Amino acid sequence: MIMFGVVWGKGKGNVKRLMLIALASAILTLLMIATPGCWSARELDKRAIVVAVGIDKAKEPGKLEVSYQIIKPAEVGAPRPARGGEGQGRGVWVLSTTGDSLFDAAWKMSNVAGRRPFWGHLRLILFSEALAREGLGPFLDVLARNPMPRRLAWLAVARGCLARSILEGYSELEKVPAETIMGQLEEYGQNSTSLAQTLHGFLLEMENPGQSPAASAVELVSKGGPSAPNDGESGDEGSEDVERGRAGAGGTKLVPMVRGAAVFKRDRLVGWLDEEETRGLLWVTNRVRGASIVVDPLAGGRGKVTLEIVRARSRIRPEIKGGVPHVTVEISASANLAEQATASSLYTIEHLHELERELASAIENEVRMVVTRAQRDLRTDVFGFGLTFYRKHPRQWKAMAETWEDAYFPHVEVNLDVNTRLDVSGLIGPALKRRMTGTGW
Amino acid sequence: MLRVATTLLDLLRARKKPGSKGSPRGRAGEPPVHVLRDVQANAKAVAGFLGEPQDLVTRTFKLGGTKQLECGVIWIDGLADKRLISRHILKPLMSGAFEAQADATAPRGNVLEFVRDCGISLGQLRAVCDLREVVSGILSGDTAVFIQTSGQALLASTRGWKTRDVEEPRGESVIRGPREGFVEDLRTNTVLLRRRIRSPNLRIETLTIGSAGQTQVAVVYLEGIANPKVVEEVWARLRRIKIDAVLSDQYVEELIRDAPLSPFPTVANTERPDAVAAGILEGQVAVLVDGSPFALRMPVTFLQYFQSPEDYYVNFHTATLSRWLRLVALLAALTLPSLYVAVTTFNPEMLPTPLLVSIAAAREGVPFPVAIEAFLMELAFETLREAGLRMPRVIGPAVSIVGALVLGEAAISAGIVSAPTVIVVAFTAIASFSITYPDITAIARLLRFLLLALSAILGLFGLMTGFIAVHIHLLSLRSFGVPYMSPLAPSSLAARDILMRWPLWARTKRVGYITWQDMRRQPATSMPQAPVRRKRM
Amino acid sequence: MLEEGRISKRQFFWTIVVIIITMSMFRLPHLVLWRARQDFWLAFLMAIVLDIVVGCFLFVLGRRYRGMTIYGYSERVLGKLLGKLAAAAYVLLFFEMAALETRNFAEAFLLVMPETPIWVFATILVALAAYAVSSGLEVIARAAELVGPIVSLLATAVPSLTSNRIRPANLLPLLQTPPLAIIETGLVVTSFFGVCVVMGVLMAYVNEPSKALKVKAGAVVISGVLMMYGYTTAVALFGEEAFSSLINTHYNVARMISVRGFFEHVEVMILPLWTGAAFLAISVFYYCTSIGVAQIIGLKTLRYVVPSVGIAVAARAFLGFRSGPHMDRYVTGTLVWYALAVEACLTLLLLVVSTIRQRSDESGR
Repeated sequence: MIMFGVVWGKGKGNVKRLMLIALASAILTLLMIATPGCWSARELDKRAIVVAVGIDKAKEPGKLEVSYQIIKPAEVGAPRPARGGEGQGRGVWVLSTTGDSLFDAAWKMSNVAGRRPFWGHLRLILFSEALAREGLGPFLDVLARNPMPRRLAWLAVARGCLARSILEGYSELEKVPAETIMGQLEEYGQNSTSLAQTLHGFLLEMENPGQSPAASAVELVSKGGPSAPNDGESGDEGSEDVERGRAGAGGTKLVPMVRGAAVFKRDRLVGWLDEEETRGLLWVTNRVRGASIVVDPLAGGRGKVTLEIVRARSRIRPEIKGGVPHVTVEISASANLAEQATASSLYTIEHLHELERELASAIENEVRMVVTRAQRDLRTDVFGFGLTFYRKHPRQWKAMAETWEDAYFPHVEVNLDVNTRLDVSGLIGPALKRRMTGTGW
Repeated sequence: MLRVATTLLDLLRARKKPGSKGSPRGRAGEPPVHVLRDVQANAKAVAGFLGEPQDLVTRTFKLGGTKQLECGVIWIDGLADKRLISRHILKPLMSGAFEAQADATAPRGNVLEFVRDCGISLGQLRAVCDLREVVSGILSGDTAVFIQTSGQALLASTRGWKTRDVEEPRGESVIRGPREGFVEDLRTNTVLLRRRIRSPNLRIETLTIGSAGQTQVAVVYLEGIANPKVVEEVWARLRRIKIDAVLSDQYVEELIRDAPLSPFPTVANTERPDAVAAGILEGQVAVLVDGSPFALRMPVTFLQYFQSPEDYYVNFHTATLSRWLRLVALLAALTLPSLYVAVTTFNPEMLPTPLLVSIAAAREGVPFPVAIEAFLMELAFETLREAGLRMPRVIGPAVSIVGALVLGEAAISAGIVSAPTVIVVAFTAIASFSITYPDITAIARLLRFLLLALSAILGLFGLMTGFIAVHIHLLSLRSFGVPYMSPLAPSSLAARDILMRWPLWARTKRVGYITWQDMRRQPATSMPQAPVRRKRM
Repeated sequence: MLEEGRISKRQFFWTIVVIIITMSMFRLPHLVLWRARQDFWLAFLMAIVLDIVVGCFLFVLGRRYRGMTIYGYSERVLGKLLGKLAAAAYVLLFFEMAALETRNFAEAFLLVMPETPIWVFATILVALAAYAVSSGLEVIARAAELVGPIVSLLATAVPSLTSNRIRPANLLPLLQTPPLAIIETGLVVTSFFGVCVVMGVLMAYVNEPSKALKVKAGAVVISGVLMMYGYTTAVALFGEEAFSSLINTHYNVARMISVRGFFEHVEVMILPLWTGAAFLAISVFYYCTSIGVAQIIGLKTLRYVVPSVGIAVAARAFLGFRSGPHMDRYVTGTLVWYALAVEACLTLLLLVVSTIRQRSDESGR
């Protein structure tokens, strides 16, 4: 407006121009006073900050129940501790709405919360197992299309319970329970036994040819450790308590825990990986950051040696021999000697080499386990072997592309080439010269 | 000595530009009134011109004390130095010895010449015929000497009114560097400049402005370095001024500047003679106005406002750091409140989650929208500043206590404003004070409100809109022919000076956009070097 | 003379860089990537070469008719009526480009402020451009000198900041796209890069016209390289998604920036920074349109042209286009071919006719 004043007033005498500018500014000021907070403006106290969202099937068929973890700023952000001894984890409000689609349900949230939901800080997206089994594709669209949710938000599947129960889970340390889950995901590299998947990574793996995606897996455990053996494929075996996320018998609180991985075929969940299998997956896809691996060179549990992986790299090399796809996975890992339970000194070159061999076979074991599982049981290429063929042998790939996962992948011969390297480190070299009476355990 | 210099200057100028400027002192248009041969009549005429004021002193006596020849000395009490008059005019003219000498050497008719040559022992002395000129001389502190039978009057410069001593400049103090500041007296100010640049090429040319005020204005530049076109332009614009009186340098600035509607100063002012000297060495032209302790400098570019004179008095590392700080401070002073408003109300997604939650927590229960809140706090701060500016020193602390404690603390704890807003406004205030030049601080204040309004309406887009509009405006400005945004756009090598204060030995050339003459300041090999080592015997 | 100002060759350089980068940042990426897939760089190389060739035409013409704009000499070459028609073709191109750029940018801004009506952005951008245009070419050129380095930095920094997440393997396999598709995309890119036919107008005001070709070629190469860098990063980040589903590619790349997990959603900050570039590109086209209109009608000042062209551009920007697919179809189906016809063919025609005329003049003498 001022601009037009300047443009049109130009050359008509300076005083006139000045008056035009003044007039335009006056109108602008009036506009500002009349419409405080135009179109896209919304005050912070009119927004409900959603940090995590959980998506379940609703009771009525064909509907979704979407749950949200909303931050209560007054509890979380206040410099002084909140009044009353409500304890930790109460900095959020978990509520749900139902709707025909994700967007539809989310759009109804303000009816419940009384504030417009704000998705800009959405950092954790949880899907229930049941939904994941039917295919996530339809729900991911809105997450990729809408500019508000972060593309780097974590994407996880609730194992053996509702997504809502996970959001209602307990956290001892954080006022916002989702922070605990995100912390677990961020720190996955400590032991590399869980997969940390982002929305971006999932979409990438889902869209790329010759690959099926995997997502993080979250389950509820009673405080202190896993509540019940939960190895079953279906996840339906969990007790009713766990299913509903209620506190277990004796008042134990249920804590969300990130463990293993959820494996998909295209966009459908087909199975869960346990901790070793997950690490196997991470070895192949070059995502191991660190791990502790226990080897037993003397066999029989008499002298466990714990190795700490400090660096790991891997590469998939596709080859087509005689029209048949082969894959070589090259893994190189460096480890430190972290702990030993024997009195015999391992501080010799020979011992080190032996330990390196042991480590290599341990890694190989883990990889073999998961590769066999994926090829035999799950029949899904979570490693992206097909993708490497698409990249390196695009012509041959064209013939295989359509039927890769069912016809070719299960029969791909996977060669492992594991290279390990051990650096003894720490403050002592040989074992302590003590009278070792313990026998290990 | 001064007189010699001035006449020399006048001669030079007359030779160089005949008729182009004319005599700066001459006021054309009025017919001359001739000095009469009768002393009493002259005295009466002078008094008549001035309306017979109380402070006009007329002293008549007989030349040499005995003879018939009457002599009159006229001055204005307080403007002229009484001691000078009595010692160098009255005493020699009244002494008997003078009479004897005059008798012996000079014929009667030419006694005025004799008085001039042998009588009055003052440096600046001239004979004039026009009574108006006599009056104007008296008004500027000269003393007029009339002698019976002579059709001329002698004007002796006896200016000696009370002036302020040279003091440390108030507004632009430095920690290291010269502590002298300009004063109200023009002559003192030219002296301050001459003492810094002793080159014979330093030109100080004066003219009188204002039909009533008759203020002396001096144009100072370095011949051979200043762009002659700029000098010519300054003169032309000064001569266009037809105002009744010029009471301070701002009058001159507003009447000669480019882009008179723009809030941005296209003429810089400073109270530091060293800053003016530095500008003159870069080819700028300075204008000094009598009665104002500020000097104007032109042409000026926007980025010069980020170079404090102190930059060149401390080592270049720290000066570079403070240059960066000033740039950041300017950006903060301009945009911080509007950025805060835009981000929290339009796009809070870009704040880190913990920060957002803290701000949101502080915002809970605050009655105003952020934009209004920020606007009110800015207003409160500006009022405080305005109040503190002209307040007697004794009340100052009380105001800051009321402002800081009562307004800030109480408003937050009452939940009327949120703490983050107060923090933002407070930091903005501090940032705006770290800008070197008060002119720019004032503009930053003005633009801050504009940008705040824009970003309240359109968020970051509005903020950018305002920013771009201001930039287009800046880019379209010129100061005496020099693009205002030089050396950024149009760009030149001198743009390197923006982010860094280069070592003095690396500044081998003048900045290339003010002047093109005699670019070299020092040889390229000026970097200090260790002496060549000799082998020890 | 409609324009008194002169611009330096550095200003000329930055003007071209800014308009190319801005034009190809917002609507072009998905048009290119969806068709040329991993071989988009071939399309870019083709566009760079073709544009330098077109630059040569304009350079020869500009040298031949010194101090004249393309509007001026097309009348000289083709005669009054045909010349005016040719000039009108150029004017129409610049006008469409101004409107398209306005629209593109306003649409991009809707991602950040979804509830704001699009005419707000369009009007404000055009108003800013009008201010610049009415201040004259010198101001625009100086603004380019300020904005150019910032834009180049932005176009480099945004992809670079995502370097911790890129997977270069996504760029493989190479050379799998059918040649026809590459050529077709190459022509699309050429027409976008070809907006630097503004050289035909600006060269008249460059103070060292003999360097204009070198400067323009440099600008095309530099902006081509910058764009290829941005596109490469997008492909390395998104893989198959970049070839099939992503639009607003640059914005999506910016969304992947996460500085130490602390600063996220940086795109919200980056988009406003592009405002400067968008405004500049719009004002260059706006300026060329205004000059052309004034020259065709035979006006002496831009005083009445600027507001009317401005209103037309803003109206075209928010009334003239409908949805994204509509625009995509219009751009690839109509605008590209029109642009190519004008940028390359018409310019070549001018050159040929002018050469023939010159020959016949010489032989006739």
